[in-house]
Amino acid sequence: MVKTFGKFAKVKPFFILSVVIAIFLLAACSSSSSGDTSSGGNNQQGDGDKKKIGFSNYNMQYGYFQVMEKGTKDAVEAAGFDYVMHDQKGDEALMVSGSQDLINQRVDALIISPIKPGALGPIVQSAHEKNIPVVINDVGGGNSDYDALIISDNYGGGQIAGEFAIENLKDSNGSKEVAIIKLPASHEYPNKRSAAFKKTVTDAGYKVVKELAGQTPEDAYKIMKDILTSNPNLEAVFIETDTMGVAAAQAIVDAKRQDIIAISFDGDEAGLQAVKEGTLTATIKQKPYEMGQMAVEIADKLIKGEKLQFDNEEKREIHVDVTLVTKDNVEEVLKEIK
Amino acid sequence: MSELVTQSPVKIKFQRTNMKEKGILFALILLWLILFATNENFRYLDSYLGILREASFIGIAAIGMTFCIISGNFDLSVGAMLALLSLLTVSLIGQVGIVIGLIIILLAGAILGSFNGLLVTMLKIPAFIATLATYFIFRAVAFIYSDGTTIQFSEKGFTVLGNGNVLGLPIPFVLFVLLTLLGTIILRRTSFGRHTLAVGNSEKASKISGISIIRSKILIFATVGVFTAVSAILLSSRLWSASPGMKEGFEFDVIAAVVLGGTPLTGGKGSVFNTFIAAIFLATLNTAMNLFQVDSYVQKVVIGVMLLLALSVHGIQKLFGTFFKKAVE
Repeated sequence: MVKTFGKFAKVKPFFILSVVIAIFLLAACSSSSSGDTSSGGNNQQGDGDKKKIGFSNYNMQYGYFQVMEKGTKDAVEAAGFDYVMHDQKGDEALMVSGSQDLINQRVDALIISPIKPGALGPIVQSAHEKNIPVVINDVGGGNSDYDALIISDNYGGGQIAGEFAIENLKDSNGSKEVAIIKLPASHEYPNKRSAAFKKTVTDAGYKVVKELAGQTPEDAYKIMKDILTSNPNLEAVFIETDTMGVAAAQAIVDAKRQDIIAISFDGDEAGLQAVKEGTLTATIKQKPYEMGQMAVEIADKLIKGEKLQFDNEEKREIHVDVTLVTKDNVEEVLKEIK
Repeated sequence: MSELVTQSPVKIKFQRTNMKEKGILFALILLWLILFATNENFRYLDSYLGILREASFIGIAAIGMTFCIISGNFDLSVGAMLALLSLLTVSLIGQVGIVIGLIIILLAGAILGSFNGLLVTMLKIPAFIATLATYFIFRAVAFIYSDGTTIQFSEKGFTVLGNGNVLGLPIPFVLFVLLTLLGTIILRRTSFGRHTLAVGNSEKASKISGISIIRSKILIFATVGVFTAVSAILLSSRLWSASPGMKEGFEFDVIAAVVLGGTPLTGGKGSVFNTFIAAIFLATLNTAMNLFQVDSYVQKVVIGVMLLLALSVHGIQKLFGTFFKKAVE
C-alpha cells in the first residue's frame, strides 16, 4: 500500500508540472487571440488571403532597434497585414532557430536585422525552399542569397562626419591629431563609417593617431580614457555608434577635455540627448523608423513579384541617406522621434 | 550501492524505468498534445522537426554532462568549449578535409575535457571552480584565436550536416538518437559506466573496491569534451559559421536539460534517455513561447519557474512520503 503510493508520489509532481505548463499555454493562447492579430491560435482561419510578415529583430534592448521594430510594425499594420516578431537577443543560434520558427509559421515574407550576418545562410536557404522572400534590414547580408538589403549610406555618413570635424577644426592650429573608436572587424558596414571618416580627414592633412575597436559602452569609456592619456594633444574623435559614443563623450567630460570634438553615429535617443547636453558634438542620424517602413514596402513588392530598384545591383543593396545632427538642429530631431 | 547488492537488479531497474523515469516523457507528450490542440502551427510536421533539430545541439552536449553530473561533478566550461571547438571546426574543415577534420575536433574536445579532469583530480580543485576558470580561459582563447570575428565556412557542402535531412528526419536529431543509445549502453553496460555511477554514489567506497578515481574522472571529463565537440560540429554546420561569443549561457541550457531529466546534482544515478527527453521538452517550450509570442524576458521567467518546479520534485516526494507513512502508522 505504502509502496504503491510511493510510486505514485514520484509521478505526481511531473503531472503538476505539466498542468502548470498547460495553464500557462492556454493563458498565453487566449491572450494572444483576444489581443492583436499576431500568431494567435485559431483566429487566422478563414482569412487565408491575409499576408503575414515576420520580423526577426537584432536585440530589443537597443533603442535603435526598438525604433526600427516600431516602424516595421506600424507599416505592417497600416498595410493590413499580420505581424509576427522575434527577438534574437544578441545570439546567432537564437537568430537561426527563431527565424526558422517564423518560416514554420508560414509568413509570406521574412525581414531580418541580423546579429551575425555570417549565420544568415541557413535561414535564407530554408525560406527560399518555401518561396518566402528575405529582406535584410541593416547590419549586413553576410554573402547570403538574400533578396534585398536595406542599409544606411554608411560611407556617406562617415564623410559628413569627417567634413564636420575639418570645418570645426580649421581655425584651431592644433596638433591635427584625431582618433577613431570602431566596432570589431566583423561589422562590415559600420566599419565603412570610420573608413570614410579616416579618408576624409587624412586627405585634409589630419593624422589618425589611434584606431581601436570595442563594442560596449564600458569598452568605449576605457578606450577613450587610454587615448586621452597617450595622446593629450588630440583634437577630435569619431565613434562608430552612439552606444559607444555617449560613453566616450563621458570619458572626455570626466577628463575635463571638452575642447575635443566628439562625433558618433546612429542618432538614437541617448545619442541625441548627449548632443543636446553638449557632451557629444554631433551625431550622424540614421533612420531606423523609416527603414522599418521601407522593409515592409519592399517585402510587399517581393511578395507581388515586382522588380526592385537597387543602389548596388550586385549586392542587391538599397541605400538610405543619413543626416548630421548638431546642437543647432537637435531639438527638432528629438521632437520628431517622440 | 544498494542496487548492486540486490538480488534481482534487472527487475528493479525495470520498475524504476516504468514509473519514475517516465515522468518527463509524460510531461512532453502532454505538452505536445496541448500545443497540437491550441496552436495551428503545431499541426504542421515542420514545427516538430524544427524542435527536434534545435533540441539536438543542446541535447548531445547534455549526454556528456549527464555522465559528469552522475559522477557528482560539474562542468561550467562547455559553452566556452563549444565556441572554441566551433571555431576550430569552421577553420579546419576547409583545410584538411571532412574526415580528418572531424577526428581532430573530437580529439580536441577530449583534450579540453581531460584538461578539466586533470585540474580536478591532480590539482584537487573543486570541479565548480576548475571549470569556471577554464570557462574564462576557453572563451578568451576563442576570442584570441578568431580575433573577435565571425568565421564562415569555405566548404559549403559541410553545412548539410547541421541543416540536412535523412529519411525525412533532421540529421542532427538522427545523431542525437544514436548517441543517446550509445550513451545509455555505455552507462549501463560498460565498466566505465558502472564506475561513473559508483564514483557518484560514494568515492570512498569506489576507491576501496579498487576503482581508479583519477582515471575515471579524467575519462568522465573527456567524455563531456567529446560530446560537446559533436555539438560544436553540428551547430557550426547549422549556422554556416562560428564566432567566439556564440551561445553565451550554453552551459546553463545543458545543465538545465540534465537536471530536468531527473539526474540529481548529488550524483550516483541518472538516465541518458531522460536527458534526451528533457532536451526535447526544453526546445519545445522555447519554440512554443516563440509561436505564442511570449515576451522574450517572460520566456526566461517561465524556464526558471519550470526548473524550480522540476527540482522541487525531490522535496515534494519526501514531504509526501513521510506524511503518508505517518498517516499509515
